[in-house]
Amino acid sequence: MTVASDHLPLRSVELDILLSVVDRARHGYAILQEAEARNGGRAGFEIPTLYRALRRMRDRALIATADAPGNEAPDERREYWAITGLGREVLEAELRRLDVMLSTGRVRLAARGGSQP
Amino acid sequence: MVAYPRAFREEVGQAVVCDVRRRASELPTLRVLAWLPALLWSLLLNAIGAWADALRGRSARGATSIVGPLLPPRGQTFSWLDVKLGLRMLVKHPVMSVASVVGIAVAVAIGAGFMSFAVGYVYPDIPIHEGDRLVGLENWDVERNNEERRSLYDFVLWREEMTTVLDLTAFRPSGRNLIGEDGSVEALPLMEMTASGFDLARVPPMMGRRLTAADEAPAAPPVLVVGYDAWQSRFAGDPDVVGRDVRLGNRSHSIVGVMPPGFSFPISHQYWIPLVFDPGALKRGEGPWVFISGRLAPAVSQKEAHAELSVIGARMAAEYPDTHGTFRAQLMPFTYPIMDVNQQGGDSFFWEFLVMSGIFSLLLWVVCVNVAVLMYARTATRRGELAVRTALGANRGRILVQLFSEAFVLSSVGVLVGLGIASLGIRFGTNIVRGELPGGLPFWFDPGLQLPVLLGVAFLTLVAAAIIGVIPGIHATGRGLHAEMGRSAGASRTPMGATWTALIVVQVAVSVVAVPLAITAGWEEVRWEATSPVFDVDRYLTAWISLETEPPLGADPAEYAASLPGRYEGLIRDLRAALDAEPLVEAATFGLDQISAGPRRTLLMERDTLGAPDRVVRAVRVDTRGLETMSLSANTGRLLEMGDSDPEAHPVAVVNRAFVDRYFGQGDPLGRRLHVVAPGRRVAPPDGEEPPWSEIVGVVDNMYANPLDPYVVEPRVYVPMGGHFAAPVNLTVRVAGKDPGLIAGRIRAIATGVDPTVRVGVETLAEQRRASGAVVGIVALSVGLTVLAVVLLSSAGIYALMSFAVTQRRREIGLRSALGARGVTLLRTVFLRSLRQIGLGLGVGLLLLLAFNVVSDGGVFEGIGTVVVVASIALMAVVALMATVGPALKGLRIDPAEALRTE
Repeated sequence: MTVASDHLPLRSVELDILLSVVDRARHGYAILQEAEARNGGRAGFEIPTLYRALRRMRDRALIATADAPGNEAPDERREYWAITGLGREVLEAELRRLDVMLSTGRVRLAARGGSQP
Repeated sequence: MVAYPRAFREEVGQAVVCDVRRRASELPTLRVLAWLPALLWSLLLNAIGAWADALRGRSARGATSIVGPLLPPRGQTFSWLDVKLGLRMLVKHPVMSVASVVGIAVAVAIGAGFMSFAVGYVYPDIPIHEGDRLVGLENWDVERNNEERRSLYDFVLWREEMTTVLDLTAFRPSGRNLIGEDGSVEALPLMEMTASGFDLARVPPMMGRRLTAADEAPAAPPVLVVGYDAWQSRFAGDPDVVGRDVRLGNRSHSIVGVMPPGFSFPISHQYWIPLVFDPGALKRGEGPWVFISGRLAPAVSQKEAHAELSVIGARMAAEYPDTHGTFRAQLMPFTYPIMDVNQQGGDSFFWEFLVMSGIFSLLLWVVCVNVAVLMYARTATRRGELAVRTALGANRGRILVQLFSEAFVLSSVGVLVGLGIASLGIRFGTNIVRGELPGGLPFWFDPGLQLPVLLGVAFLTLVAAAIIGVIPGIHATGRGLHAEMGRSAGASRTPMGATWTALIVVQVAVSVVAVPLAITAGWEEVRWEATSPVFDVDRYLTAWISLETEPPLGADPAEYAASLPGRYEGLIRDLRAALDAEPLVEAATFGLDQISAGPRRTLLMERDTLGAPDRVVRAVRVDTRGLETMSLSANTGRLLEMGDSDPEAHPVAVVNRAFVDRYFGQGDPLGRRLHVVAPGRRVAPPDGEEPPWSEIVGVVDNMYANPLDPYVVEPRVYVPMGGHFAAPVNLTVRVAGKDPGLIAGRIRAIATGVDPTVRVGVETLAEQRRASGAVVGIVALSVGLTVLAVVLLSSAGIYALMSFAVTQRRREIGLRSALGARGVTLLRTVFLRSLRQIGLGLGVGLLLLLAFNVVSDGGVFEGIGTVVVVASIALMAVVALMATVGPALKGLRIDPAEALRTE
């Protein structure tokens, strides 16, 4: 039985995957497009990296394959991925971790006369 | 996906392929090209990662003992010791290292050099805002199989009708003389451009204003926009330059703006004047030739824009069959028309580019396979060493990593040397291009190795190392290795088998095919290169002289155009008189073509029986002094005479010796009639109509000679130039002494003294020859290096395989000898076996060559082909026999007692 903290920190591709599938199941290409939209046009990873990460995260039970959402036509070539309970915990833990880093960064930058939050 | 573990493939392979296809279809073509290396890189890295994942998963399930650890445990994947060992192997086997490095370097240099040049010129990242959305438009004449650039009429129509392409711009590079108040004259390359060009570039001026649509009206006051560099160099950075008047050719232009540093849109210019025309007065298919560019409208793809343009083009073709019947309007990348890249039936250049890239990659693959064969032979000899390592605890993965590292060092050295050569080649080529283009390099060209090419090369280096190191390694560390451990170290022996014989046969066969083909291609280059002028190039100088075609402000254009021939005649008369008075000048000739060059034209002969390849001759329009200036005298018949250029005179021509040799052999050419087809005309005259024949009245010696193959010397036709001078005139001068450059300034001064608007470009023939020689040199060098690499690798491959095969039998020879066999009998056995293998390889190779010969229509055995084939076969046979003799004799010298003891 693993706990969420065993999986931290997440690689950026893993964080992008969890962020994309947290609200609904998505297929690989949709995850890539979501990541591109979030990151200003560049996903930061290529298709082979995405699929390797998907398999790895599936093996670690962070995500699982799922049926196509009701509003999408099923396509047998597509595999849909959804977040698991453990995945959600890991995502929350990672976001908390990032939040701490973000706050620390802002406070220290402000203390040195940098830009205000 | 074949490189991935099966589980990965079955699970997500289809989804990966599906997504890659979708991504490729969404990206514009150029972006796909830039994306491919990144994708390939990611595919390769993830394939390695997926294997590591798979093996870790298996080993976690305790399956290690069944499959054997293919990859080492974490932390042991790489060690500097491997690199060091790799370097040591390079030094330890110098012949093999040199052969391999030369092979890889040549393949990489040619591939990377060509691709970088092509990417840099034709598929660049255009450094302006949304540069990737710029497009070029042109009419393609399917009948002439060429582009038609006299398309101002179409430009106006496209600008009005097209909604998918915005900021449509027409431009044409031209030139004027900048005439100073003190009478100084400087020839300026400048760009005539519609004002929309500044919208297209989206760059605001640094000072003053840019061109506006109002400037394009014929009656508008002439204006000029200058670039930053020109502002600094020509106007000394004068802050009050805007508003100044300068005289360009026949007109005074007011400087209205200065563009910021680095701006030289649309090609490489520093001076912009409006492209002046009256849209209402334009006639279809007439006017100056122009380039046309524009920007894709937001959210419009190139395909959609092309579709819209095609519809307009098809309508024009239907409406105006007389002028547009044979035109196909097409839309293409921005650089295509400027770089004269043609695009018929889709983006054929792009595919050609891909095919060329494929061929260059293929060259590298062939080299790699050859090197891999060498490596295989070497790795096989190291089986003893590998067995000992295994016994000491190295797993198979560890040994493969070591072999991969050694191969990686080898291929990296080859690749680095190759990239160095490519980089030098590009610099060299760039200098040539810079010298050839009037305004310098195009603004988008970034000389150097291009990033996509470097990524591609990095990927290929890894693949090369995998082929060279890992594949032979997998074989060598296979099942037999454990058995090897039972033997004493150093007593390595690999079972001789069908694989080895097959390798030798394939290697010999490939060499028999590759070596003659490479040598023949190299010879072809040398053959052309050997053509040299018979005249003394150091004593000649050539100049192009053209009168300003833009009339002075207020003058009637038609009247001005009609005055040009007379003014040309006057100019030539004055120049001739001035040159005759020059003590340095021995002879001077004017012509419509450069007498020592001349354009290639199609030839028609009376009672024509010429085949298509024989129809091309150099046709030179010269005055009566031309042939004498080149020190040519009549061999048979006479030279051109004064009366010949009279429009009413009987048309005549003089031909060179090469012409007679090619078309008449021993026959008499005098009195025979020929016709040189003017450019752009149909080759065959309409039925029943005779072309205006010219009678051959004399034969002169060749101006060029080729000691290797006289057939390479081009046939030439000299025709008297008529009385019409509406185009630039060429002047060729022979000087006394060896420095024709001395007279260059004089020619310029004399010409601009007669008329300051006259534009003059002077060059010595020695300079001209150096420039063209440099291009030929690059090609010859590439071919030469390829030949060297092929010969070296083939010989080394055969030598390594044969000598290894015989070495394996050395102990057997020693043993037989110990048991009393006679040396001669033993040698015969060894040689017979080698001969069988070589013979089989030669046979297969010859069959392949014959097949090539059929496909290439007799190309293989043409000219020196037969000699080369025989020589190559002899070379390969000698190399193979040499590789047999050494180890066999060594085997005979083994002490029989020693041989018996170790057995």
